[in-house]
Amino acid sequence: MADTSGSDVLGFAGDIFGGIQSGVGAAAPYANLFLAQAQASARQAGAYYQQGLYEVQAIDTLRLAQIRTDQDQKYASIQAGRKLQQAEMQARNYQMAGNTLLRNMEATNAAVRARAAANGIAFGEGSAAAVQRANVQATYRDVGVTDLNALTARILGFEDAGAMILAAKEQADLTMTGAQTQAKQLRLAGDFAVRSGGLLSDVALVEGTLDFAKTVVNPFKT
Amino acid sequence: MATLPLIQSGRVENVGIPGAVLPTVNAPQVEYTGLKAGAQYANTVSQTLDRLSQNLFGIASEAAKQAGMQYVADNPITDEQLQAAKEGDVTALQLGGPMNIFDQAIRKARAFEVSSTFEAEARNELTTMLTKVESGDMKVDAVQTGINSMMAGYSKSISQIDPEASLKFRATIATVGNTVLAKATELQLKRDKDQRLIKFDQDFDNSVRLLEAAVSQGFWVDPKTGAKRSVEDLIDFYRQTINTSALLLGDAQVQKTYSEKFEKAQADAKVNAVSAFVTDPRFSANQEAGLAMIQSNNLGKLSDVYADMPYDSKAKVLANYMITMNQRADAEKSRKAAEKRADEIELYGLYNQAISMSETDPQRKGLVSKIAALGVKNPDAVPLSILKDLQEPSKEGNSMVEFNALSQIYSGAITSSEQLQKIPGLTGKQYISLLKTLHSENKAEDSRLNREVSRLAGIPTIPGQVVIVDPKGSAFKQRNVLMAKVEEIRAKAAIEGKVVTTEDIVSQLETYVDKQRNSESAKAARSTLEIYQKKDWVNGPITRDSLPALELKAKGNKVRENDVRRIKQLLDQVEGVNQ
Repeated sequence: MADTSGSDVLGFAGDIFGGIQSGVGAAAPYANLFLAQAQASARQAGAYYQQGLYEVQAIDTLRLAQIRTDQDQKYASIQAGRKLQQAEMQARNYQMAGNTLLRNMEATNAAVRARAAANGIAFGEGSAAAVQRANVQATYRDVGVTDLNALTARILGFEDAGAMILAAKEQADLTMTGAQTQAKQLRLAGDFAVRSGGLLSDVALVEGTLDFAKTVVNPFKT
Repeated sequence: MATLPLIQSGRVENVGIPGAVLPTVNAPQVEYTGLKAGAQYANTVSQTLDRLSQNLFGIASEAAKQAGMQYVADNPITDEQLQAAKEGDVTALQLGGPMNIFDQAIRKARAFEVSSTFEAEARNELTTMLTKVESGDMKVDAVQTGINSMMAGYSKSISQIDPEASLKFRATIATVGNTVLAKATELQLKRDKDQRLIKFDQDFDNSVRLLEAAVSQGFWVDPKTGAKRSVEDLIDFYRQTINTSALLLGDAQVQKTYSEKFEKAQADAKVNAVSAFVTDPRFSANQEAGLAMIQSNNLGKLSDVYADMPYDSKAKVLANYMITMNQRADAEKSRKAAEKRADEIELYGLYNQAISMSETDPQRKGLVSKIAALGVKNPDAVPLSILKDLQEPSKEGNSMVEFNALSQIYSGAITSSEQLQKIPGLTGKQYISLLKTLHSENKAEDSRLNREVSRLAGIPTIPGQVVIVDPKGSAFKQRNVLMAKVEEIRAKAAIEGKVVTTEDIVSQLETYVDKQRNSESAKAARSTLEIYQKKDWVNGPITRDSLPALELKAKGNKVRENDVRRIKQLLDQVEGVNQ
């Protein structure tokens, strides 16, 4: 029976470890070269992934900008309609105010005639008639103002609605232009990512080759 | 008149004109991503190209550096170039410009080469300096100057090649140089301190001598006042002076040591001065009287000094006194012994001359008178028996006593003439002979010769033991014969002017005895002795050692006693003993 003492086992383990160590040391330059090639490819692939990312981002940017401008324009159109309706309502209110003035005038002149008649005064002549004419004149002066106000309300309503439509249009143009510019920038960044990745890939390959040359032991040298 | 209702106009106002609606049109914000990406692309291109350029430039730079190093390796610096660089001329090195990387690499490599060489040379010089410093041939200033000039010279040359290498060189040499400098400073300080210490020590010794002189006077005369002052005042003065001087050396240990040395020195000075005074023969002729004077503090001018001395110092004085007195007594005894020895030597000269003359010779009487005068001068040297024996020159002495006395002289049991004088039975002639042996300078050789003669004569000699020998026996006779032979050999050598050693004498005696033992009569005696050995009552080998046993066996038997007598004769013949 073979005698395997502790020192023999340790010596055997030491030999195995030494063999592994020297084997790993000899293989390390080749492994490094392989890793450098892998690193170069990975960098190239990474660059293309980056470009793709930028492209997706550009497309999304354009699509979102289009949606946003469409929505903005729709909203602006609704708002402008509401503004016109508001102006029309206001103009109507001024017309109604003119009508009220006229009704008041008629009531007042009826009162003048009644009172003139009651007092035995001819209501179609003289002062009574003068008062009635003055009342008509004064009322129409006010009715003229209300008409003007109604007109003004309509005009301002048109103006505001037009401004809203115009602003929405301009905002849409700007948004689209910005989105297109952003998309261009993203695509440009994608191009640079590809270029950078290519360069880094080449450099990694060169550096790996240099390190390989520095560390490899010429296997053909006797 | 009735009032009629009248309508007034103006009850309606004109409509108010509101402000015109201002439609809001917003220009959308455009993100110029493309332009930004373009700019970023351009930037990326720039950075990438820059990085790539740096990478490629780094490779090219490394290649250029490598090429420069290779160039230097392929073209090593020559001795001429090095010598020129040492003298500050680096043009021979063809270094090129300072901007080009290839040239820079050459400069670095050359600077390394030159710097290494210069560093080695600088280290050699520093080692030499260190040796000189250690041997005391170089001082700190010279070391400093040497290091500075060496560093300046070398670094100036290197700085023309590569300033950075020059700075490194300076730093390296400064580090090593500082070690040498520190060593030089340390040695210089130590030397200076040693010199100061030597001077101080000399001054200390002088001070102690002066102090001893002052103490021996018992007092001190102040030169300022002319008054007598106690030696203690002078000791205090010296103590202060030595203390101050020791402190100036800046070493507390030295101060402590010399303070202790001074205390011992002043105590010793007192002991020496008083000891010298009391051991002077003028102090007291008698030892006991002198001792009494010391114990009663009767020391004349040194009484005060002695009185102030501590007990152990006084004990030393007494010890010195006793030792000196004893030495003086011993010297006297030695002088007398030498005188006696001289007289004894003179005695045996006179005696030998006297006895060699006839009793009627007038010169003999003169010699006897001289011996008598010598006896008067030194009775211990001339015993009365000598004078008596001169009157009876033919009287025979006891040879055995003389023989044993001689043995005792050789063994060291007898060391004085008094011991010889106490031995009864010695004639004057024998006494003089023994006295001569006693005073012999070559006693060891004489003793050896005596032992050898006794051995050849068949007399057992055991150092330190008295041997009983029959003076009329054959062994003693043989010894006398051999002693006469010794004198004959010596006389013959003296005539021939040769130096004869104990070995020569013993050798000649052995030859003589062998010749006797191998004579025809000895052979015949040996054959006869074998017949006796076969007798029943003997039955064994007969030797000198077995002879006493045979004598015991033969006692009372006349036949055997006659046999023993014959055996003795035969043994004498065998051993060559003269009959």
